Amino acid sequence: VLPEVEAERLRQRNFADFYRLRRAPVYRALAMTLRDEDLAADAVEEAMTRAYERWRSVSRYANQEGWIYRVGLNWAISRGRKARREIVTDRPPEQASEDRVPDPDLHRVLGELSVQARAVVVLRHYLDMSYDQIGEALQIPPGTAKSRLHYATVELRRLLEVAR
Amino acid sequence: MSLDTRVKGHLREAGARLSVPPPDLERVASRGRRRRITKVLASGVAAAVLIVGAVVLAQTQPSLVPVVDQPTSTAVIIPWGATSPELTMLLPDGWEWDEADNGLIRQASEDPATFVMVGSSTVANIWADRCQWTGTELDPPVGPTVDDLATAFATVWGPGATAPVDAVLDGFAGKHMVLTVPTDIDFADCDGGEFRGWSDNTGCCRYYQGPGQIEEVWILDVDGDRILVRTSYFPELSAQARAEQQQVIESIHIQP
Repeated sequence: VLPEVEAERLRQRNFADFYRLRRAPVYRALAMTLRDEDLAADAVEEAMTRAYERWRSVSRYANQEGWIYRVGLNWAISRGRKARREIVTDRPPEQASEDRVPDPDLHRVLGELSVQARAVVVLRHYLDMSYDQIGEALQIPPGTAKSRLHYATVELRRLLEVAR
Repeated sequence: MSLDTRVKGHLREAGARLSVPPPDLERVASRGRRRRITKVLASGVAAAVLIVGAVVLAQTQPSLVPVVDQPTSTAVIIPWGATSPELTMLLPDGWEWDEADNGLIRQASEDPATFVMVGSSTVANIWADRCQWTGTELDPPVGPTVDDLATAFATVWGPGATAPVDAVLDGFAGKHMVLTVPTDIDFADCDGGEFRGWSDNTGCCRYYQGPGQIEEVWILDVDGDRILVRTSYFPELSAQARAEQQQVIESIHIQP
């Protein structure tokens, strides 16, 4: 077998392993960030398609999961905005999952954060990323990731106090 | 229980309760393969057009511009915070199209001699104080026209912005300006460690990479929508990188 053919076969197997292992956690992280499960499902498939398309490069990234998350998030933000302009829905997307949240008060105040703030919270507390990894994922300095999480936590605390 | 623990527990439980749609690896692979082929074909066509153009040009007049490698790929970006227009540009060898940035291409490097970004964005509002920016967004927000934004940059940021001059990019008229970050500033002293410029329609913002950074902007009216095309670099940028940057800017084609 030609070396290049063998290398391509290995890359495909490598991508398949990555897809099987990391698709679900990234989907869940996106769903909680976007608070829209349908949009998150489309976003993770779009991001995975782009990863496949350029897997030769993406497979060398230190934080592949973070890359997928960012591509999916950016795609969803653009797509979501367009959809909001074009489609009038009869119920908010997150209503479908309201009955499945373990801490309704916290769920509600998380929804009041900006998507960017929620992204940092989800990457830190759900995907267990370090500040360096969050920085890689969102392409911001680690110090900025830390300060965004700080501000988000302060805001969550304030909103929970108000809700009492 | 600390708030961090509460958030972590909530997200773990909420995540576990989400049902994950069934995987479809074959569909992902098939779409990825199709796009890869399309991109290769598009790059080939773009390179062919450029080579033919270069040959014709070389036969008609002597070249006065720095020698830059022929572009090896194309990128299509959409301004941050918008769904249109599409900006197509040709990338020289060594440049990367980072799709993850969804509207930003760069020569990835931390070396100020080669660090270059070219991108596009919407602008929703600007911060009057770019360092201690909390609570300083203009109120009322900057207006929707090219002149509104150009005037705001020039009047609010004072020496941080040059006077706007008329400019045209790919046939679309607007204003060109140069925005600068002070050289004697420590970003650690700024709110959140960020030196900011403007907010866009995504709800977030433009923040800079370091003191002394220079940003050239073209504020354009594209069929009634205001967009901003920008390129960022440091004063140390090499002549070669500068020539490549100019080539990228000049190759921009805007499709409303």
